[in-house]
Amino acid sequence: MTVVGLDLRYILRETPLGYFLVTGAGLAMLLLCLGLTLGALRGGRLRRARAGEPAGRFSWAAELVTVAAALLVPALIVASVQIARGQVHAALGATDPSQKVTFIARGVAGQLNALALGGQVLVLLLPLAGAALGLLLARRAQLGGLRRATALAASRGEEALEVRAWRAHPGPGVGHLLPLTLGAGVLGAGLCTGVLTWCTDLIRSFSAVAGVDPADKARLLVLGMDEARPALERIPPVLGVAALALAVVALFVLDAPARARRRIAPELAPGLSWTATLVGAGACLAAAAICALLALPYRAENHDPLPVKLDGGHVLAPEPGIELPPLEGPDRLERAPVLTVRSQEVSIEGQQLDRPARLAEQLEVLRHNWKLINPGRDFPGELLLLADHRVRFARLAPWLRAARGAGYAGLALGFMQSQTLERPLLGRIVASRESAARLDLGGATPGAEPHRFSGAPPAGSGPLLLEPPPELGYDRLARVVVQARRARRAVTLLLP
Amino acid sequence: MLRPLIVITSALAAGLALGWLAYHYVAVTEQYMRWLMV
Repeated sequence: MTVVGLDLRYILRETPLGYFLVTGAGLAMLLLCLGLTLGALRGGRLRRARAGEPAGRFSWAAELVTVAAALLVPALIVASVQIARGQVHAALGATDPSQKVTFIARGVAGQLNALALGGQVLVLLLPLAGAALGLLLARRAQLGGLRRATALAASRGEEALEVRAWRAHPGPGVGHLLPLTLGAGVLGAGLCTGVLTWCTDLIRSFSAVAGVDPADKARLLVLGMDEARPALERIPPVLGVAALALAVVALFVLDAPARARRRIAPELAPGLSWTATLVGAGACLAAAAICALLALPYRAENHDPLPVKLDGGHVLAPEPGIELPPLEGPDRLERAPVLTVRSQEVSIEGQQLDRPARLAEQLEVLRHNWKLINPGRDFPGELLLLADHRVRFARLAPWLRAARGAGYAGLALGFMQSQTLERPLLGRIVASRESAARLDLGGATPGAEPHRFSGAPPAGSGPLLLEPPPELGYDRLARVVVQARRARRAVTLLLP
Repeated sequence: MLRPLIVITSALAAGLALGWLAYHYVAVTEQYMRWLMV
């Protein structure tokens, strides 16, 4: 089943409390219809009170049910979003990288789905709640006015001006209150429409990158977020102005019955007592202060977006037991077969190797597979090296020689640096930045300046030929390659 | 007019603060998406 271009069944499955959200929406809709019916029924009692029957009092139950119904869905949305956010936080404790990514992705999708699903429901529910509440409160206010007229009539007689004034204008009626509460409901629905548009765009971009190469994923997601953002950023100015206009209208409309009463009986006190004014204003200001305080950490998080590098996605998974050189290479890290070299163990794509000839065999297989998947394209012949900074060149050389023999003449030295960020809401985040420094494996290059690591690397801008001694540490070799690549020099590593 | 003005201004403040909270609460989802990529 598709709603606003989204598969509803899929969304329900992927949304925490998804089924509760839908059931809650149905229940809220029924309760709001009940509120509207009770509001309409109050009209009969009001007419009888106008005709002279004792006014009596309305129970607050109808208002309470209406408010509870209006709050049920937002409460379920918040619960669902909090569960999804909890999944993202919990994912940080996961040790398996692929499991971690799955948890985070599910947490992010859960948030978007909860907001999209809840947003769709609230677009309908909020105006309905506004209408029901307006109807109920208008009839309550008018019955209260008629009660007051009866009380005044007991002491001053039916013909007193105050009594006539209260009978003629007992309080804000449906025509006064309903447009205001309905307007407030429509403002809420407007906020939900903006959120819904934004969420729908994000869900689309989120699902569109599902099968994309991880290196491009981040860039596409950031593009999607930047394109969706205006729908969200339009909300505060548009709704702020609309709310201000509604408040100005409310000021004149709500006070209209009191002004009309004073035209009949000028000595009448204003419709609102100071006690009611101060209690109402105090409650509203307290609610405003609570909302503002709750919003502060979210605002702080939003005003300082997390840094996302546009030129790199996630290619590397953290490798246990390996310390890469603490360097940042100038080249982009591309997906390629990963050769991992530790002091005790060597592996290709996670598969442990016992001798260099096995590496050559595995690389042959990988090349064959690549050609099957990419017919008609030139084989890149590049290998990604993740080596512990403590290993020596003598340990690397036989494996690199085997790789070159298997047709892999390009080598990218992979680096990953972690940076800890303290966030107002998200807490401590470890951001990893991937980079590479690219070189060629091979023989002598014509015109290249040789560097034997006995002194400083030669200055210049031309190609550089590295002839490392066997005892040279990988960290020093990598540092020279990074320096040369930063100077945009082509680097060739001469293998003994 | 003064008393309705006080009440309605306070109600407007409450409404705007609620909207402000809702906006930032929703918008922080984007930070979670960025977090996925850092």
